[in-house]
Amino acid sequence: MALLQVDNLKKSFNNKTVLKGVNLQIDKGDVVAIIGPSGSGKTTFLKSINLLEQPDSGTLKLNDDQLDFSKVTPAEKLKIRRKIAMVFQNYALFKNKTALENITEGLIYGRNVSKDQATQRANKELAAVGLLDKQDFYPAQLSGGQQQRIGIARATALDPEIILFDEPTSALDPELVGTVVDDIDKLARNGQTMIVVTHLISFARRVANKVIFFEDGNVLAFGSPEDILDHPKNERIKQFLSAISKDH
Amino acid sequence: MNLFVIIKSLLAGLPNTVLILVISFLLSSIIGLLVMWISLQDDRVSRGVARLYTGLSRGTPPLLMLLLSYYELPKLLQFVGINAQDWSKNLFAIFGLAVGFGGYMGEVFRAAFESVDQSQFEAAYAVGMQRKDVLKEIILPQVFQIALPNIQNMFLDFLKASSLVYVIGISDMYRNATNLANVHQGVFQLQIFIVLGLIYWLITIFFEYLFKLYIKKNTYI
Ligand SMILES: Nc1ncnc2c1ncn2[C@@H]1O[C@H](COP(=O)(O)OP(=O)(O)OP(=O)(O)O)[C@@H](O)[C@H]1O
Ligand SMILES: [Mg+2]
Repeated sequence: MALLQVDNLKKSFNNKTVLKGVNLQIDKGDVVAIIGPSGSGKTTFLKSINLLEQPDSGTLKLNDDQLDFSKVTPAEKLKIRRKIAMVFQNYALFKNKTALENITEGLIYGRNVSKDQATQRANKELAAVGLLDKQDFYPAQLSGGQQQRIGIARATALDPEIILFDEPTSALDPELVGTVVDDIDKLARNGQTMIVVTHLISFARRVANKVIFFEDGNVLAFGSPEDILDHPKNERIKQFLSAISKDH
Repeated sequence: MNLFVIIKSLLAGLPNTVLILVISFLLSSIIGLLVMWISLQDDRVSRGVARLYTGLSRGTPPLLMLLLSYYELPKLLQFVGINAQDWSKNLFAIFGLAVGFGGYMGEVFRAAFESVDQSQFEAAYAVGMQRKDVLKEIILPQVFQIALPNIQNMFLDFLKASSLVYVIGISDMYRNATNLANVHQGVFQLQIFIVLGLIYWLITIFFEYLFKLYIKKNTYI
């Protein structure tokens, strides 16, 4: 049985249709890379999965939980969100919380874990990303790379079924990209299910076992990294890949 | 007349001044938060109510607010069966100032709320927090921090406006200064009001210092 199944997801903003009936099915342990041109709806799709955006229609199934996007209750929203975590392009750490508190917050208020247990877990996560000495620092006192690794620690601490990544490296200085990519790669090897929107083709090749090519609110292609990235059949994908490789 | 007498006589009004200042300021902050909350609702009626109050409160001179509060509010209360004849004048002063400045406070908080980064909401919802916790833990602390410089300015406006409570007969420092000057047929008026100015100035410095301490302790940006 699939871990996550999304069917016929549609979403428009002020009469502009941004997602035109997207389907996706992924299994436990999958690492799915989403690539595609700017404005094609990748971020909107990701945020629809954990209902940060409210889709107009479609259905979602996560394990045994099922919901209809056109009539989601607040309780359903909460339930889905508490099984999924997200890492943001601009890190989006809580500005008024320390590195440690950024991790405990979700445990305490999103998972009903006691403060002591949450602190223990957060310390473990901080140690895992080598930032234990930064536990009392506020986000503004940390580099982009450090912030993003805390963003990742905040997500993994929640033991989510799935972690959503929206371009986790694209706001980072080039020399910091490597450490964040390594962290995500480590998660992948530990069997964490993830959906990663990225422009880094080398990264997609390295961590993903499935690749989705998005265009204009549709999934244009879905397959293995070899199929999509190394031997693309579709002209649009070929164009996109060669345009991207010129940039780098 | 010796300086000591002047200071002693003015300081007799200090408790009233500080009491009215601090309590009306706190009350007005609460009103401001409420107004912010109402003005952020989706329905038009709520937003309209918030806008109307904000307009009225900002368009009414503090002096008039105090007079309305002292002379008209008891009649209004009488109307609903509450006898407010014996209530302390301080109460009406506090009410008048708080309601009079509540519109400004609402604007300060609303502007701060709107400048909180959208991603802060998203990140908080994404970790599975409920709306009330998102507001309490993440958003309102940031609203306060953003609003703080403006709140500090508002506080100084309060301090100045609090010297107007003499119009409803409260013995604050300002009224004591006027009385003292009158008793001496205005001969010492200049000295008395210079001393009054100095006392206000010291109060300002004291509260600015408190704000500075608070800001230093609560800054994370
Ligand atoms: N809140 C919004 N209001 C209106 N339009 C929006 C909103 N969010 C996204 N859009 C529009 O939806 C379309 C898809 O946006 P989305 O951010 O999902 O694209 P993307 O594939 O993530 O692009 P990028 O690679 O640049 O991040 C764009 O045309 C965008 O302008
Ligand atoms: Mg995007």
